[in-house]
Amino acid sequence: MIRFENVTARYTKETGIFNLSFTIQKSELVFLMGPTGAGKSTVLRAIIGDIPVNNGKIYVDNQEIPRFNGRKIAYYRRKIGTIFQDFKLIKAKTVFENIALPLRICGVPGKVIQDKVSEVLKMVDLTGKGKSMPLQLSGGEQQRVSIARALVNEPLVILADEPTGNLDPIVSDEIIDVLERAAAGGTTVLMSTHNYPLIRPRKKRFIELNKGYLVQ
Amino acid sequence: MLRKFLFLSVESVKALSRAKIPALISSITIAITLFIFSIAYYSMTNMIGYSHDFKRKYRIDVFFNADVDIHLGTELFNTILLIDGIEQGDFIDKSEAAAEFKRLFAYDVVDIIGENPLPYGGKFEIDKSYRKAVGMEKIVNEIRRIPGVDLALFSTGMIMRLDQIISNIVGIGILIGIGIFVISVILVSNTIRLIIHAKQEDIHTLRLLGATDTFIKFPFVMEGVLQGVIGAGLSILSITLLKSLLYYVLGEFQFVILEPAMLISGNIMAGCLLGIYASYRSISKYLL
Repeated sequence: MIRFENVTARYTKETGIFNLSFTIQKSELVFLMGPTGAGKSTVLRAIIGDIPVNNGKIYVDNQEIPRFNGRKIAYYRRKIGTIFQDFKLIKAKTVFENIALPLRICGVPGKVIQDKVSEVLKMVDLTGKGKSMPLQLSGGEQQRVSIARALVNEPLVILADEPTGNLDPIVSDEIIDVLERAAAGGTTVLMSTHNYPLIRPRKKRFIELNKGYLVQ
Repeated sequence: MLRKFLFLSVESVKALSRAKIPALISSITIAITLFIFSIAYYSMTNMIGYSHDFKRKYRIDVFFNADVDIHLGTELFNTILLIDGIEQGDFIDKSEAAAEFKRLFAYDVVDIIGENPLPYGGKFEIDKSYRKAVGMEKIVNEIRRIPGVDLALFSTGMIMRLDQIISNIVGIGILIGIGIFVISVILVSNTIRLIIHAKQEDIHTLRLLGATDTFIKFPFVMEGVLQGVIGAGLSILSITLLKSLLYYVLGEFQFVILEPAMLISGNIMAGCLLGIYASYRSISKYLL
């Protein structure tokens, strides 16, 4: 589902990712490991087309990702659900409106939006919180809203950038449970983390990075 | 497409209601601009109307040579009538000339000299498109070239001065208008820019969720339109109040009053265009 072929995306001569090659299969949950500055976020940003790739090719669903801004990249991003460490929820919108955004962007009818959002709210255990504002929720709940937003459009791939970074161990475990369920449902999940003890019990494949290079 | 349009339109109204103060400042700026434009247009319309009334009195006085008799005089008069720019004319025979002399100087020329030495001539009114110093000069030169014409005159100084005054007022008006328009665009652009700046993070999130540029830009342009409409409403209200005040103070004084339909449609159209231009300018500059 995701294939990196000798990908280099650098910010400076020594920072970025260098000559990375790996493959992630459909429905796989893979952890992207490494210390701060290892290049985990860069890998995710390269997949979503948020930074330019200097060399190599990235394939998602057997298609090379578009390199330029514009409609092509916008349509490509609709196939990907993204979860961020800082949630990136729109504070002026309710939980329901935040989750519905990817569907609004695609022009999905209101009735379908209502059904799908209710479904994912249930999936992330936030039933009844649709009318709340993000700031009225705990960190764990906000992250679950972010996951629900990533899931609602039934994406091919979910990219989670340190989604447990700001959460306590119990809530973090719950978040990984939700992502595991998504993977079991057919979505490919790539989650970055520097918290090895958190992912160790999951017995999933992980890709380790250090200073932008692949370790394992 | 329609669903997206409706969603984004509702979003624009919500965004406007969330940023009340900057939106109000923008709307008031647009209102002031439209108000000044309307007043300037209104004053210009009145001024041009009055100047046309005044120019309707423009005429060229022609005196034929002393040896021109009534037959040749009539022929000359008809020749002049055919010149481009002459609208109509009155033939002045010797007795009418004497009457005019008496009206101007309070003396009877026949009583003073014993005979009427005044020549035949004519008074000619000028076509609308020639009622300028340059146009009249051209006609007069043509008349002067006709054999048998002694003098052809018009009030050169006064007409040139009036032309100058009108062109100065129009020029200054255009300059002030451009100045006000530029200031207004900058103020509205800055307001939209502030709103965009405050939403930078949300815009980035929308991009990552797959929103196209149009989806992101549309609400800002719509906000500009709404600010334009609110500004136009305020402007129309102010002009209506001013109009009532003018009627109250000046009573029956004749004004060329703007038609309400034109006032409303003109203000709304100009407000929308100003809002769209200003918001699009800031989006193009700061969003991409």
